[in-house]
Amino acid sequence: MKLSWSDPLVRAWVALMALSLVATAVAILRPQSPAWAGTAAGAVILGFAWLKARIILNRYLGLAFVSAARRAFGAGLGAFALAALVLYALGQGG
Amino acid sequence: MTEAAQTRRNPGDLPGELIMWVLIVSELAVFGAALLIFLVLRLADPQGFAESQSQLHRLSAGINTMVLVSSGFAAALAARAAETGTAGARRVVRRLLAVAILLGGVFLLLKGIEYADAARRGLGLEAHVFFTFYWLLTLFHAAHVVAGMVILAIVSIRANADAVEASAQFWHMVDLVWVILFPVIYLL
Repeated sequence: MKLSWSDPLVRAWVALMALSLVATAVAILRPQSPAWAGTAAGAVILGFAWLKARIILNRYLGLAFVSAARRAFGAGLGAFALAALVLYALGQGG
Repeated sequence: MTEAAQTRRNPGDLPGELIMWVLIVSELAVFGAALLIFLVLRLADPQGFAESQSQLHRLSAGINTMVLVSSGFAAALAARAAETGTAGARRVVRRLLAVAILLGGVFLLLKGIEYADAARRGLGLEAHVFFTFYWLLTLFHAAHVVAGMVILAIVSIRANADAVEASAQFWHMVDLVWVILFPVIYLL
């Protein structure tokens, strides 16, 4: 079994690793104030979570080839991430 | 799932077993609803939630995320290798599934260390509503990891292509749940 950068699974795995690393770094290094900075960090963290979920669905689970299901899952997960961000921002007070 | 495998299906057909997709949607709905309730409860005590969250090991959880997505990568490669049906494929599939199971074990080991530390510091279910959700959601997820490891191990005995694909779907569902649980519980 040969793996190469042109393999979509390899690229998906590398992207998942990078997004996980950056999201963790953003959470650890984010400033405590002002409130908007925390909300911005939250937006990055949730945006990355949405991207990771899409990568798993499209590449690991094979939805890249099924456009209707891919769009439905993307919209559902996007709605979840947006709702989570709004609730988080309300808790931040900004 | 390879492009060649998808072209063998009817356009628009979901890859793998339909029942696994029902399970994936159900699990996402259950965990998603619980996480939104968690964030609603946070509105009443953002300071308490922030202080509780600061006692978790973010870096360890971040490493665990990378361990789990790597395990998913091994499972995806196993499912793809199983599709080829070549003579040597079964041995490759078994090895890849073994890697996926091993990484699942690493995930559980790191979780166990995290749980032991939280218990030692008295951060139990009743320490704060944050920890009620933390324990219930992460333990429920860990139970899925255990179930997934057992399923992958059973499937690796015969390494049949359909069974490997279905077990990999279950394993990716475990990945998927973790990537939405991890940021809300540990990072926000």
